[in-house]
Amino acid sequence: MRLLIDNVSKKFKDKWAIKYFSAELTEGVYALLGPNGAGKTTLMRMLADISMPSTGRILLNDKDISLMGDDYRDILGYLPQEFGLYKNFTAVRFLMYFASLKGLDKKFAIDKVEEVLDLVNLTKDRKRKIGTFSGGMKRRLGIAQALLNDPKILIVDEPTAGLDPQERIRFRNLLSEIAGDRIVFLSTHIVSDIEYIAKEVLLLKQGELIQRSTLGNLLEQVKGKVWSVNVTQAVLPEIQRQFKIGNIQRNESGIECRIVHDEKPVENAVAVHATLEDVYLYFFDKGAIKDV
Amino acid sequence: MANRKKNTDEFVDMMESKEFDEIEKKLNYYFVQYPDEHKIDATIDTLRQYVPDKKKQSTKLVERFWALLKHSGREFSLISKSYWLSSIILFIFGYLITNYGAYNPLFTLVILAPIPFIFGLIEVFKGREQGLLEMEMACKFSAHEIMLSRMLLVGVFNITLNTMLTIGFLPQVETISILEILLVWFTPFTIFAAFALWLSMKFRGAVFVMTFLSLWVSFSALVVSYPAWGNFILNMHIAFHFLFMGIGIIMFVIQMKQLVKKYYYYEEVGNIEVTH
Amino acid sequence: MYRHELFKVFTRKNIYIVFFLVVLTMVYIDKNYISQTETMEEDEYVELFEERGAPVTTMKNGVYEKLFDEWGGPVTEDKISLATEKMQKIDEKLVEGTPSLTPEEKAAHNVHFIVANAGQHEISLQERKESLQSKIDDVDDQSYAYKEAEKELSMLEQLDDTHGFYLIRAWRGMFDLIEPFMSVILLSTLILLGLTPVFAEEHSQRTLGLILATKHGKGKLVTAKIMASLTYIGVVFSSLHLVNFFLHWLSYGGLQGWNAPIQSLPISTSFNTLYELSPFAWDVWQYYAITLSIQFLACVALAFLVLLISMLVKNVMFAFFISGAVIGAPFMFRILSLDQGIFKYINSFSYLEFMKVDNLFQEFIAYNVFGYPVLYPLILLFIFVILTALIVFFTYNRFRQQQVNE
Repeated sequence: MRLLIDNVSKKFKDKWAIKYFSAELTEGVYALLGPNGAGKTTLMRMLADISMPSTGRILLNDKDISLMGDDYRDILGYLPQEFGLYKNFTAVRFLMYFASLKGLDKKFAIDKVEEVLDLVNLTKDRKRKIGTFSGGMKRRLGIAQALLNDPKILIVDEPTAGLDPQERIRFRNLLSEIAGDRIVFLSTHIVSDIEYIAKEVLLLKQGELIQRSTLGNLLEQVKGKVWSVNVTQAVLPEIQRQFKIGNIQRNESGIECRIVHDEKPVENAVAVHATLEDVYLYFFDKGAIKDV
Repeated sequence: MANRKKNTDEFVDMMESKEFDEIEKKLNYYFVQYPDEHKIDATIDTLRQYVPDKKKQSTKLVERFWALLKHSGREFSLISKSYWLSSIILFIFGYLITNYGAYNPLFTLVILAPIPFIFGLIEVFKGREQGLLEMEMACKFSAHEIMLSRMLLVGVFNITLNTMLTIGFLPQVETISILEILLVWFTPFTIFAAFALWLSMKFRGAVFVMTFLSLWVSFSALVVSYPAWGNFILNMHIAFHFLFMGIGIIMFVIQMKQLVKKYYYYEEVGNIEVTH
Repeated sequence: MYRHELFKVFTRKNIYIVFFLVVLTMVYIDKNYISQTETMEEDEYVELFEERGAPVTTMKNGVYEKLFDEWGGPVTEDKISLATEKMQKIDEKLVEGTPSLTPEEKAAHNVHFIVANAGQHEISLQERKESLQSKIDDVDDQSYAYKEAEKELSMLEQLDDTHGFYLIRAWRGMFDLIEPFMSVILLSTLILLGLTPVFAEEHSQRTLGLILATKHGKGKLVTAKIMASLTYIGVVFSSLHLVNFFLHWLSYGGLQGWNAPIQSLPISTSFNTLYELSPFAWDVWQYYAITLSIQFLACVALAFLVLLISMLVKNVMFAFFISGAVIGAPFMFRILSLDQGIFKYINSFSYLEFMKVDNLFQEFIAYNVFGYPVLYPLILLFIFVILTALIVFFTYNRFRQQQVNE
């Protein structure tokens, strides 16, 4: 299976949300990383066939997905970043509704619904109205919906927003379990979500693909560029102004700053081990740091 | 707490552990009975009268009303301009059509009277619709105060419009006194306003407006196509007017109280919630 | 899918409130405006008349059955002159100041009036035929006016003795809910309330993205939504008409008159929809079936329009107002005396007239289509079938093309 994103752009009035994006995806988990407003959601929507590219095309095994239509969406699972649910539906009814939308046979659907409910840990709330669900439960129901048809292509936009750490780990494991024979395309700005599962990471900045690489490779690129330094309160603002700062932590001897910079930023800085978070800092602007 | 700990510390310092043991032995000798439930309750009840009351919001009605008025001044600019404008246009349109088609101006009044209030309720519940409720409730002027002051504005605006329309129609209905004309629209107005308020607390803004307007259009069509209905309203005895108006106002006040109660604590708003 | 769409439509609480109030109004009007005048005293009758205009006689009293044996069926010369004679006698009696009439006398008086009236209608029918005949003789036989007159005349010739006294009990009010215009308002209100959210709410609830990304979310879903909407209309329509049916049945005490000709339909109801010159040779039950079918078709046509608007506008309240404006526009135009030229056509071929039905069959109306007279109801149906087909096509098409971008 090969999903080819060929020179795809999306333009709203005079603003490019996505600009000539190209990538080829095969089975495995791909992580789309980028700050807010980078165009992640727009790209995801085009992949989900609910938004038309302004230029370019998306091909699945050399067939244009907009021409495949129903056949494409048949093997698609999609979880948008923002979505609503029918408040007066129960979880089971909601999933049965989506099972019918996805063209599942009814008998098969009944079992499948139970299965996905179990996957997202909602079995005991199956008969409750969605209106009474918490934010995290709603998102889990959204995930369940996306998995109903055993999608060959799973597109999930910020799937872990609003989930508690336990559920996040659960979901992460779920993804890596099922990723064997399918394409999972996942966007996030919570870097720890993808640390262990992503086959490749795509960095998106202002609608453009700036890097596409394996995690190891990315870490390699920032290796030796992450520094730790102990500073005093007085010089902290100056440091913050000059460099990209990661964690700031107070300790007995002052304030420990993590700095991402090509060269040694200050005299007493020591090089430290790089993490994905540092990769993120390295590639995106200072302004984006807040969103990490 | 800290204080007591300090005391015990000093106490411990003062005595040797041997002395401690001795005292403990001695004390064990005595049997202290735990007071029974009944006695505890009685003590609490006795003490209760000395506990100060929870500070009430602001006891004086006048004071509260003034606060509301002041607040309305602030809210004025927050109600959308298109609301003011469309209401005025609607009334001008009603005036022109009535004059043009030589319709009974009293019917026009009855039909138009509650409409600005209905649309005004959307403005009143704007915070709820847009998911601001939780934040509004936490602010200094809480949600129900905002709602009440907006409702006051909308109500005053509505009544002003109606009165102006009444004055506009005066030359055409010389036979009836101005008081009677006022009563003709004011009585149905109160009843429908109360009903509208009730509906608007049950349903979201759009659904409420649609539901109410549907009923309103049906009612208006009946008034127009059954002269008897219209005449019933027009020729009602003045005592009945006051009776119905009284019922309307009482219903309205009950609804207002419910509104205040409902939007005072967030838990009671559960059924109108914003999708994520 | 259909079942779930149905669930969405039928779990809106507000439609139940409105439906309940509508039924309540119907019952109220029925109880208050249909009265058994035949058992009333004269002064009560007069009072009722002054208060509400012409009261509706139920003819429930058994005395009418006897009178029907005597006077029923098509009018004849003899019946007319006898009825006129008897009416004069009673009038004289009233003038002389004799005690008020017994219920039997009053009922007889009613029937005499109807018979005499039928006689008048028979005369105007004959006059109409004659004037058409003379028109046919006068104008060029290739002209449109000739064809039109010929068509009307041939239709009128098809009617055999249609005027007379028939014991039409419950039927007079069964065609409309309360009255023709009110039935439009009540039905369209419920249609709008139930159907404007169908597509728009997927938007406001932000479920559209989820739906569109599923296999059937762009095609079959529309079918399911349409089917659910039609079911809703079917339920609303049939339940309102059933309520209406039973209300009338109960208040008039019988369904007699189902086989009377429509030309003798309502006389002395408070809504004078008169069919005396209607060129359609139908019995009352046929007309009932036709009226309801057409009204139902109109509801369906309106439903498709509302669904399209709901999809295009994406906001429940705007969809509601726009749909309402489309239905109400002809009414407003007429109030503003815009009923000439193009407006005449807009008003005649509107959802309002389509749903109201009663104007379609009261008299002969034909339009010139390529030189041939075609009956108004036929053109209306034709236009709306085409229009609705276009709307359906457009709905499917647009929904498929929908994008989620905001």
